[in-house]
Amino acid sequence: MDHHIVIVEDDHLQEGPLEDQIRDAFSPARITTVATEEEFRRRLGDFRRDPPDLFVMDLMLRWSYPSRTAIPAPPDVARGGYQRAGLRCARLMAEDPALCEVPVVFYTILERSDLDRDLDQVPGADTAYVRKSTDPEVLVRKIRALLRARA
Amino acid sequence: MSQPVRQMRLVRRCEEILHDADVEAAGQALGYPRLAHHLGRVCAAAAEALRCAEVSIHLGDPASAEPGFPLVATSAPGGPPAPPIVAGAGPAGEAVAKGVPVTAGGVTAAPIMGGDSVWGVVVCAGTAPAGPDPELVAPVTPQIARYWNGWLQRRTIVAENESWRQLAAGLTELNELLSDQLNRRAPDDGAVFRTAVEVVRRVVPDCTGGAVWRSTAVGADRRLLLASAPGPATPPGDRIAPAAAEWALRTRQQRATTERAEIARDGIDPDAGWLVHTPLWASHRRYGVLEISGAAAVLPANSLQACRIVGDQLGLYLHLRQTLHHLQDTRATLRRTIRSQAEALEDLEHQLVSPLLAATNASDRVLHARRLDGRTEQQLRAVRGLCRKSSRVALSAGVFAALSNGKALRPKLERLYADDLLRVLIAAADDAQLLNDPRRGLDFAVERDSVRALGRSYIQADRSFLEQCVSNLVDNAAKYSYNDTRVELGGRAEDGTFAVSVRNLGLALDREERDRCLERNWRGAAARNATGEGSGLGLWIVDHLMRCMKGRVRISADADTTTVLLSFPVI
Repeated sequence: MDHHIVIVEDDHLQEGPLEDQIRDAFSPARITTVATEEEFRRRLGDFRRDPPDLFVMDLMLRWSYPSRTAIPAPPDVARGGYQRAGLRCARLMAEDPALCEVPVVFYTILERSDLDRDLDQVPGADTAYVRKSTDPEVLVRKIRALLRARA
Repeated sequence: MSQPVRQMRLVRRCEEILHDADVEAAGQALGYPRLAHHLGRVCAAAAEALRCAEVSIHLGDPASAEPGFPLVATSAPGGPPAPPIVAGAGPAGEAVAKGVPVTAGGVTAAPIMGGDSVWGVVVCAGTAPAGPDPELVAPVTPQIARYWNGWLQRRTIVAENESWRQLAAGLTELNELLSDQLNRRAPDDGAVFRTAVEVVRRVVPDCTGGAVWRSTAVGADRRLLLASAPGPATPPGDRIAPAAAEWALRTRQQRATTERAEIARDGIDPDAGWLVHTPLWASHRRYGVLEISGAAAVLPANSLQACRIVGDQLGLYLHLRQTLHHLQDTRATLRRTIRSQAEALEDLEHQLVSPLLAATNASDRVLHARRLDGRTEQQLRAVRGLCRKSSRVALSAGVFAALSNGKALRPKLERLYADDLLRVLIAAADDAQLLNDPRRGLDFAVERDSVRALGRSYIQADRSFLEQCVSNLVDNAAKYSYNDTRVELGGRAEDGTFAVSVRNLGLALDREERDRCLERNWRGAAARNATGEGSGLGLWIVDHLMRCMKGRVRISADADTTTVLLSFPVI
């Protein structure tokens, strides 16, 4: 069965290799990439209609790329000081009946101890934490375990 | 002349005299001599109207400890001092005791009544054989009573005003001392406590002194220890804290007593008649107790309020003192922490930069020595760019560590000509082109002619510092540029300076943001929006690097174009 995995990552230097690695490990997986928090919210409807099997979520995302026509950040983003955007995205999924069961792997440079309280506040499906500095194989194993549990 | 007419004339005359006295009192200090003068005129008028040798007025002063009703005024001054009238002694004493006029032995005495109380007595003497008709004297006494009552009230108001004036002056003096002591490394609490007690002593009549008890940690407990005493007779530490002081501190309420037995139990001067304990506290923290005592048998009217106000000042002082102490401790700890973190960061920088430079040089050698296929060369260039970027981040961390540790930056200044500057700019542009997301369509271009305008002149700068500054500006330009726009790197000569410039089209800083963007940890709304999380250190580091090279950072913006100039004197 082809898996559908969404990578939410705003740094293209990291996103490219990450996409290659996941594609190699889960071929013929369908990979979708999202680069900003604004894009994630814009595409939430698509995800609702066709729920992916798993999200790999960076936590420190930009709201949007500079643009004359950029959509201003909504109040909850500004209130959060634009920080920990990935957690806001995960909360939106948890509140959505169509997406609340989709597992999320938080893939971040932040230390687990700095996130414990934040991660506890994300309800919904299975979540996992992988630090970016660990062996990339750890991420692959975590994704495989979550996909197996979902199946 | 008929008796009613004489009576009416006397009443009118007395009214005139006392009205004049009221008018005069508005502009003059209150005192017994003026009171005696005015009431003496009433006595003289009465003596004339009643045709008696002497009329005198005796009044009981509620504030005086002297018993009976002393002589206040007479129509025949200069005689031997008359003793106070005591209830029951002679016709006047009888009038006072019974509260009705009495005539006997050529003397008529009419009591001066204030409601049901006897305030004094008018005594008319020297008409034989019988005294004047009490009916003539009695109508005068209510006038005297009204005047006496008004005089006492005015005296109370004047005394209260004086008391508040003294308190205000005392608090000003105390606050100046508190402010001075709080500025010292080791505040003299003893001086503060002595001054506080002295302020209360000046304000509260009859106050003989006091002391301050401090809540002090003794082992695992807290105890009240004597921190200051009024004089050497009671050295600090010789008394055990009275139960009343403990109660005041525990309940944060004042406690006053006039019970001699309790006062003696508390170890105060045995002659003390009253004792007030006031808790010293602020922000829910208890610091001690102010103890004030006096000799009188009754508590002075303003004693509780004065103690409360001075106690509040002391509580605030002790709270500020403790808070400052904690702040100093915290600052010292923070300094130690920052120093150790800065040292660790510097060490990490040294460990990082060396392998990164080696990797950069190795990539360079491979790129120059071998013919590579297009894709491999592109990837190797990207690796070299990442190594350079990582080196610059490590160097930034080192600069941050040095600045946080209070160290001066030491640039290795060298002559940089136009070609040197071009190499720096081209390397920065190439790296940015390779490392930025191609989907954004940003183009990084160097305006070579504008740099060559430097001609044969040169600037003095640290090459590594300059590379770091330029790279930082190009990173910023990439972050805030609109997609599919160009970031232009170039030079600009003006007024004996030459500036390296980085210009981009995107989210621009407004005037207020331009004034603040070189501050440490400052991030504008656009920066937060565009780049999410960040430290706000980049431009702060650039500013410090430029300053240490005698250069400066200038930022200009027009609509959505931003130009940042790194300007150096031309040599």
